Amino acid sequence: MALSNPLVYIDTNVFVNKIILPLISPATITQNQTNLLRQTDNFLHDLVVGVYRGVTSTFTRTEYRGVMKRELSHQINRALTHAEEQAVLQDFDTLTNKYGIGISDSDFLINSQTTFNIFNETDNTVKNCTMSWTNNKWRNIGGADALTINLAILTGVNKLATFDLGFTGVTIPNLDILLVQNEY
Amino acid sequence: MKRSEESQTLTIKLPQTPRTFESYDIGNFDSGDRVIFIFDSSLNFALNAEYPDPDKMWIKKPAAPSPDAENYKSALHDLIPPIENLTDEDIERMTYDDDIVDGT
Repeated sequence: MALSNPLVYIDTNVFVNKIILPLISPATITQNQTNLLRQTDNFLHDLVVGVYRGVTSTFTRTEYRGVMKRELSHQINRALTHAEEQAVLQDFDTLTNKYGIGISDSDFLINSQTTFNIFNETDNTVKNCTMSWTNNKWRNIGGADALTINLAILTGVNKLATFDLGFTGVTIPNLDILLVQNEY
Repeated sequence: MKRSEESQTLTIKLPQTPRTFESYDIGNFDSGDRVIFIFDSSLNFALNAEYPDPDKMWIKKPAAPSPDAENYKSALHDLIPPIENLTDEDIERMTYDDDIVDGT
């Protein structure tokens, strides 16, 4: 398997931004939201032109599902219907297909390793993350973020793309954090 | 690389930060050989290894994007009305420190 361009693990918020921001009414979208969508599109464009190859995991798909169910229900002020939830997942699958983003099986990644204790490593990742003061908030990563980092490591990527400013304080050997809003 | 004739197990200890499968001579495998990769601390070799079966590791392997990737349109467009009141704070909560804000 020849690798000619770096692999980048794509975090949940990139997918959420790509799906949910275009749903905002043009009459109410803010400049910040417009910027976030542009940055998301510019990052994804780099997959199209071959700057990166994208990968993610079934765990990130699960996170995406949870965020979208909650936020869309909040926005339309009712629980999503089954058809709408299926459309949420269809969006994820269509998006990953179109952008050639590989989806690794999180269960397989974990179960195939005998020397990597993922939850212990996840605890270490949170422990070693330094707090950062960004946009008037102290930020770090949560447990799900740290699990994402370790799943990304297991997929063999060089970079992890996210909008999560808590990742600013993460230092992992051989894994660069690509903060999309800073790079694009 | 070390081959155990008794166990038919080939053990390959990789140097630090291996990046490509092609970079390492892993020798010839016989049918039925059990191949053990000893990963470096960041397990970077996992993706590139031909063994274990990469088809089991990946639900969908990374592929080239389709030419019309940037014409993607959400399936939700046809199902829900336009969102009118999504605030920047909502976006931040979704995209930044979701689990912290939720207190989970």
